[in-house]
Amino acid sequence: MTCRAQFQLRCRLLSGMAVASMVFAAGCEGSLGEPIDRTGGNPAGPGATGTGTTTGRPTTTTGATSTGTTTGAGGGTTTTGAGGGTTTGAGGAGGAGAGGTGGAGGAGGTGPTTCTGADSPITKRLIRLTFNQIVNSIGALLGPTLATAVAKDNSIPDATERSFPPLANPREGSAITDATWSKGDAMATQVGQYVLDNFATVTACATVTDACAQQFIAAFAERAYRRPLVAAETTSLTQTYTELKAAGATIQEGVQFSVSSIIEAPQFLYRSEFGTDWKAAGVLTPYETASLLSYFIADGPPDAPLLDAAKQGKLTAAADIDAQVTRLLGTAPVKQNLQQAMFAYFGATGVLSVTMPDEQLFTQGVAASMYQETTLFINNTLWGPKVTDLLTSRRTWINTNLAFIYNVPAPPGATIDNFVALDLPDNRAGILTSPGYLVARSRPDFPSIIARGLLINASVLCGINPAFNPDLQAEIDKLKGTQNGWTERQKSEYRMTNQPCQSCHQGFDPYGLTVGNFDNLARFQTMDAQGRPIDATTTLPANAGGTVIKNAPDMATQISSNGAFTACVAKNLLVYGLAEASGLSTDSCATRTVTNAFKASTDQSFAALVRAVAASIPLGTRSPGKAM
Amino acid sequence: MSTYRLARRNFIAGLGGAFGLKIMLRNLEAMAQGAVSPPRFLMMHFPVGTQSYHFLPTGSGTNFTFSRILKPFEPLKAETIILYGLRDTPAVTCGGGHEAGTPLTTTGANVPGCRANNGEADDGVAGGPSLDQIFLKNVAALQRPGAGYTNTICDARVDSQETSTQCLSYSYTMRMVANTNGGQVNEGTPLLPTLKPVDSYKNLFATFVPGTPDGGTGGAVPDAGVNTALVKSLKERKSVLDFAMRELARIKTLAPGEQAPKIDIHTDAIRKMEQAIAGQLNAIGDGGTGGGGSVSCTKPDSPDPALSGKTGSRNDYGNPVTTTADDVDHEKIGKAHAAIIKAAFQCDIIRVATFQWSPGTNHVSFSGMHMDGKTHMHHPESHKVQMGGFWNGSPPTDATQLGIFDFCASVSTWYNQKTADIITDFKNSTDSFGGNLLDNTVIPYITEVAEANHSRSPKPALIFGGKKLGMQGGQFQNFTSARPHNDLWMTIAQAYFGMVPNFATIAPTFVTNGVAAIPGLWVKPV
Repeated sequence: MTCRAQFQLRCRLLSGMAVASMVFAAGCEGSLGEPIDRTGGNPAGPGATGTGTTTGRPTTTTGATSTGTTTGAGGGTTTTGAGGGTTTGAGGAGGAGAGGTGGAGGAGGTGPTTCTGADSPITKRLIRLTFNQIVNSIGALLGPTLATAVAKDNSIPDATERSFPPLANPREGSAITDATWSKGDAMATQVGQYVLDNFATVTACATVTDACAQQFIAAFAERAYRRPLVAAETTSLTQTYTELKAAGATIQEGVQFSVSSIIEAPQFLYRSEFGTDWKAAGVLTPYETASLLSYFIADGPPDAPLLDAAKQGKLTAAADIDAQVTRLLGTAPVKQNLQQAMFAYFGATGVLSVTMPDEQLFTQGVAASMYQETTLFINNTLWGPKVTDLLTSRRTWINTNLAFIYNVPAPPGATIDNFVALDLPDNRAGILTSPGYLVARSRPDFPSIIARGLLINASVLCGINPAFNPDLQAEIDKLKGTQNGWTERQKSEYRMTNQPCQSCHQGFDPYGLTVGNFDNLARFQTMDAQGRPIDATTTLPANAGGTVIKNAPDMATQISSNGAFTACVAKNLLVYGLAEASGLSTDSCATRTVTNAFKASTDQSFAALVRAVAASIPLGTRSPGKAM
Repeated sequence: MSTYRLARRNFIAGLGGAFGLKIMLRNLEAMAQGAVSPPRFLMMHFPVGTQSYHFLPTGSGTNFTFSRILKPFEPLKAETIILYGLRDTPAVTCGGGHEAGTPLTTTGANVPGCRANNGEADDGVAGGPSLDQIFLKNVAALQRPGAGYTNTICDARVDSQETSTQCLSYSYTMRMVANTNGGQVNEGTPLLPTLKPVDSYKNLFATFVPGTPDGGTGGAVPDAGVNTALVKSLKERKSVLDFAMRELARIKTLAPGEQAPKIDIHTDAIRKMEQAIAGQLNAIGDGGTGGGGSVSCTKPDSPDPALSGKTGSRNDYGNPVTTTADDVDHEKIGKAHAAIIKAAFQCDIIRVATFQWSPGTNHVSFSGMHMDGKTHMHHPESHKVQMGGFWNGSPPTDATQLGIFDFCASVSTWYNQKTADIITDFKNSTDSFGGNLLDNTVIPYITEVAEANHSRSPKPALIFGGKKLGMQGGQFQNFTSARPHNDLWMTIAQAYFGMVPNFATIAPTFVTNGVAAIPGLWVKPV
């Protein structure tokens, strides 16, 4: 957490200011006509069962419907897919190692059903860095003090406020248009000024000469571009320096404006994913891979060992990539980045802006405590033995503000600032029952089955929530008048068994039912506000396994064991790594390559899932680019 | 604020782009030569449509009485055209009411799909360029050195990562993006608006360096030392931009063709600034003529850096009530943006702009406007309606529903009052050519839906100003047989082209089927 975020949190934790009350009329909430959240891709199957493994980095496996065994040797020539499957689906074409040629396709693997799209659906492309990544890159080049100033002076939001994936944020956009460029231009000017102001320290030129200046500029560009310069780039930099001198610039000013030029350069502002030939399918170059991996898991430029690995050509084979990713996952900045990314994934930031009817109970201090609890839960759980611990963990961390939520005395050692571990009772498990999660994105005024169902469907199972059909408004209004006194469960059962509600609500209402025991503050309750017992038993939709479950912890266990949750996280991590919204779903063959590889691993941790994504075909290979 | 006379020697510092210098010098030179004020275009947007009961004036033509919602515009009657009964005719393949409605309204083009954004599946994309960009590209008199336009927004909270609801302006540069319905869809690249007034200020005025506020005679001929320093500064700046363009051009040769739009739109952003500097260098090389005359240009003070609309995805539909009222800051942000646009128009830095109060899915909260005395968020409150025919009917009798009805009318009135303040400020301002700012600016005031139920008809729209460009203010027209909303654009286009332009040539994506200029709203200036 940054200093800024820590300060804000401290203020919020201490805040006792109450928030407004409100009243919400229960009923068929779809009548509101506005969605709650429809994050995610298509409904997932229960998880891949294919057992194929992939070694090396084949160029691509096009049109695969399940995963066979494809053996690609990094840097090798022809690779051959070996049949390993037992059911439907043609195996993917065998890939080639770097510089190799395609081998024979592997036979069909044991996929659960068919998957959609190519294993490597993304074409060769340019990806712009986010503003956070630009700031981090400036920090890596010239130090954190400058990075902090650049972020502050150019209104760059804190990394905790990023979107998932980052470039999906409308405030970022995936293209550099006039306003975006103007902001980047201001940052480049600021960086140049910093270099001028700190010329001796930055350049280490004992004697100010053109030779020293140009040597610094070339070295700076190489670091900024995250790879060695090609001759044309060196020539271009020299041309600019010469022009500057001809215009009357001093050596120091020549360096200043050359540095600004480099920060304006597309080589700095974008990552390329061209490979050695954009017209052919294949892996990225080692340096491109280094940048892709680093901005994916560190949100910043590659460090020296990663660049060195690229230099030595050791970022082609899956094992080499895995070694680097494993190394990076052991560093604090990378862990922090992925923790923040997963925080964004679950949308927990939203709890800070929620308002509640009971302003005496849900103060800003309580909201801030929920935010911090979720932060601690993710930070402490993410690196556990299983990625599904995020759903099944029975431990959280609370402060004195949150004791009443759990109906326990404040644990020993807990203060308003000090969060201590709390073992959860049997009726709670993981993020699904976490106050920060339930309160942040579901309706705050009453425990809405629909809102929570939509939330879980989208964020935990990657289901696509259907848009509300406003033509149904009148019918819903009529229904409301007939359901006075019904329990929320009775209303839900009606929706799930009667058209026109059924076709949509049966797909997400069950998830909301499973957390029906938690009130709008996420306090466990066995009776509703009218004193009627709450029954959380339900049958899960097909994309969650279709089994009967009795409550939220039971669902957590089910969708953990059947792979549905892992498939969703895998899909979203892949989308995150690919940086731009890609339209992938859990049914995409690209996602299946990750989930299949992950299932085949004995390591079922989140870190292992990150490694599976990092070494996957869809992340590291591209389809041919298209000529216009 | 500081009003100052512009003298070339005072511009040196700035330098980074310093194109403002050229602009001002040229203006002053043009002034001396008797040039008239140029045309300008400002697209303004208000959220969530309207309600007929409190919107519709009584009477028609030039003889009408302002309604509750429109009352703030009464003092501006002579400069105001009120329209009601427009309908959206372009096709919507995908997109929510507000999400598809926004690009549809500002482009007049079909909405061919929805952008996959890892959020909701209703983020409609633009099928072509927006009208501000169409006019900017095709009307030479609207073009200025540099970016040539600015886009602003006062609040950017949306439902779920939508770009569509927080962007009025779309480029001619089309690009392929992932479609939520599978495959890809070709969209006009969104030209995202600036949220923080201080950022907008920096974009427009960072390189615009004031002269001395001395009220002196100005027009000083620069001495050689000053000129040399200016030329050096401009050349340094130009070298940076030339380098970036050179590298972009080189990368374009290495990249797949389908990446060209991404490179092109980046290059265009730089090129516009680079050309402005090159032009300024040429002007200095020509010796320039210095400044002169008595016309002043008022540069606004830099806004408070902390002044900013809010962002992020929000889900407030269950509970539109909040204790945090946004309206005070919302007004400040809006007026700060408007002041910057006004000054940029006056100083002739740009002639085209867009101004958006909020996304159509408006999460801005307003205090003191609801009968229950609480603070409510605009769009979430509008969706608490539980009866049909609400927005086209009389005030409901049910107290709760009446509260919604009245609140939305109050919010609309609030927006109109603040907009009227802005328009009045334009009316009371002259530009650096000595012309009236409002008379030389056409300001359509549009919304993305007809009503809060997402209907596409009957839509309201207003047009302010443009008297010198032929717009005939002081009218109200109610189209009981709905006219295409694109008629509005066709009508306004006449003010810039002097006739109805051939949209098939200048913007083929603009839907023209059944579209015609609205009679009586424009008369060719003599």
